[in-house]
Parts: sequence; structure tokens; C-alpha cells
Amino acid sequence: MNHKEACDLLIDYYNDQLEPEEKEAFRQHLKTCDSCQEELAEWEALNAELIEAIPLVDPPEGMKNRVLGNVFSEETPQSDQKVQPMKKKQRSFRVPFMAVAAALLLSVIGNVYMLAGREETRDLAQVLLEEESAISLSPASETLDMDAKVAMHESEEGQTLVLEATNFTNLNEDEVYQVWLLREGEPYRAGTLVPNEEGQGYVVFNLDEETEIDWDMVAITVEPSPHNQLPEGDIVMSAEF
Amino acid sequence: MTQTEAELYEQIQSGDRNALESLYMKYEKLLFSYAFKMTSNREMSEEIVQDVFMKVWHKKGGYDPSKGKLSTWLITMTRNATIDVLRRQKIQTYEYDERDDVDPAQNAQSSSVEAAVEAGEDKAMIQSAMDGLSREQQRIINLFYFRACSHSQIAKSLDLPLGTVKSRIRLALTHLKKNIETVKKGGDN
Repeated sequence: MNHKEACDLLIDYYNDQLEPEEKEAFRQHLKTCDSCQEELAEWEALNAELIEAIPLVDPPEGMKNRVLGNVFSEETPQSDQKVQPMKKKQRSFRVPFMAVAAALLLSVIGNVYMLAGREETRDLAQVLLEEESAISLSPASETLDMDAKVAMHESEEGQTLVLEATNFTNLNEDEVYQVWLLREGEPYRAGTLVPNEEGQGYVVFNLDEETEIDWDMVAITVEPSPHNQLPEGDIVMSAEF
Repeated sequence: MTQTEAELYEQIQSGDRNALESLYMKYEKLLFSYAFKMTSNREMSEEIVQDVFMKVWHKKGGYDPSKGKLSTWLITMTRNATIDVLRRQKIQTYEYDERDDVDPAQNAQSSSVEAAVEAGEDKAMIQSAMDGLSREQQRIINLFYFRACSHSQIAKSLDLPLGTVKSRIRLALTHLKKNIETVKKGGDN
């Protein structure tokens, strides 16, 4: 292939229409061809300008939580927080383990995102939490001076749990706070709470199931892993609906 | 605002979640809108935006500030992710049909009334900018940009010699850009 023929592949390179080996060959060509580099950069820049001029479409509700939740859940979070050990052993769930998986009505995995106090989502969550229906959680032990409030929002797309937490500072390394919803003693994972350095955190969790469920209880536990599908650790706060 | 985008990107590279969230908030709507323009499908568009931010977060180091703006890089990544998703969905196999000149919504499965309304608004604005272009330019932009067609598909669709496709694309893009600026100014009033 001569130089001119190679340059003619630019459109197909830009639109990703080349076979893998052609693509690699073109990449080599691109390294040494100034005019192709310029042309490509110009297309990309012009495209960006054009795209910035397109009318904007509102993203679906909860997209940010889903996307960032999935992005962050792809890895083990690197905790650089100063952590203190839990002071006291609290009561644990006694879970009817079997049947839980089968009884799972909700596809909840991957729908969680931990909010460390960002303005935009806080506004949204705040509205829900300031409603009268918001419930304060009680600590499992008097030695815990943490606060949490929860509100359930129901829409056509299903139920959303919004939880605001303050003073959540007692975590050992690798431990996480998990939120659970319970119905008739069966727990459903409703998000991971990752507090910021001040111990504040938000959870916005979409239960993307149309069926409305009357939950009995909400609880926050300390779990050894963010991926637990069932609670193993101690309850630190809970409330009945 | 004191923080440059290059600094923000550096923070993301060092694993700062808040920095990624800031970047996300800044570009969510734009990238989603772009993906939606190409796919006319909200679910696919969300998947595309997620794909882009997965790459930003995990791949790390892909952006070189000396080679252009962060926004351009993100848009190019979104474009590539969209082409990828479209190919997987096999909507990509495309025969030119002049009925869908400037309306990708017709070809893809639009999932809701809401989406259709938004596609309508989108169409109206782009349509207006397109009006100032020749018919061939309208086609070429649609095929090149929003359908990501191959060189030969474009030539065949427009009955052009292969050798002239590139220069026609450039000309059409320049004109469209000017027209969109005009439409935007008009829309502000």
C-alpha cells in the first residue's frame, strides 16, 4: 500500500470500520503521517464543537448513581480514611439463609452508588429526607453517637431508598457500611454507605422492581466486604417502618 | 474556577472519586445526549456513558493534555463506544434510505414516548442547521458523523468517487458548524 492509499483509510479508521490488522497498520501509518494526524485531530475537534451544539437530552433518573456505582464497584475501594476499631460487639442478624436467594424479588446488584456529600445529589436526596415520612434510625448501642435518616420514594420506576448518615466514623480497614431492607426477617441489600472524612454519607439506591414492597425494617451493618449479598456483620443502626 | 481539566484528570488518575464525580457531573448530559443522538435509545446511551467513565477510571493515563482538550477526548471516546455498541446491536448494517436522512430515531428502536419527544426536538434544531446545507452535504454529515459509515458506504450512497469523499466531508462539516452556531444564536432569543 502506498502512502496515498494509506491516507485514504482515515475515514474508516475514524469510524472504526477497519479489520484489526488494518487498524494496527493504520496506527503505524498515523504515527508518521502528519497530514493524517492533522486531519484526524481536526475531525475530532470539529466533532466536539458540533456535539457541544446539539440539543441536550436529560439523562434517565438515577443514571449517575447507577453509572458511578458500577464504575466504583469494579474495584476494591482504596480506603485512605483514618479508621478506628468498633468499640463494642453488637447483635447480629440471624438470617434465614436458604430461600433468600430464591425469594429475591429485586435485582439490586449494581444499582448502588455511594455519595460522599456532593451537592447535586444532596439536593435531590434532601427533598426526600425532609419529608415527614423520613425515618430516623436508632443506634444499636448507646455508645454509638451516629445519626441516620432514611426515606423511601416510590415512582413508576420502582422504589428508591435515600439514606443520609452522619458521624459514621468507626470502621476497620476493609469494612464497609451496608444498608439492608428487611421484610418478614429477610434482608435485601440496599446499598453500600461510604462516608466521607467527616463521617457523612448518602446512599441512593434504586430497587428496580415494579412491585411495591412494604418493608418492615431498615438496618445498617458493618460488613467485612462490600459485595456481601447477605448481612454477616453487626447492626449499628436500625429502624422499623 | 481555579482547577484546570488537566488537574482534574490528574486527580482521577490518582484514584480520587470526587474528581471523577466532578468530571461526570460536568459531562453526563453532553455525552448522554451525544450517544442518544447516535442511538436514539436511552438504555444504550446510558451504557455508553458508563463505558466511557469505566475507561476514564480504570484505564487511566489515556488522555494527553498536549494533544487537545479533555472534552474532545471524552467525546471521541463516547463516539467510539457508541460505534462499538451499535455494531454489537447490529443496527450498524445500514443501507442508505433517504427517508432517514437526518433522523436516526427512525432506524433505531426508540423505547419511550419521552425519547420520541426528545428526538423530535433534537431533530428540529439539527434540521434547522441542516437546512442551509445542500442535500448532499446533509447526507454526507449524517452518514459520516451520526451513522459512522465506512468510506465506501458513503461513496456508494452518494454516488461519489472514493477519492472525493474526504474533501466533501470537510466542506460539509465546516458549513454545518457555521449553521449550528447561527441556529444557537437564534434559539437564545
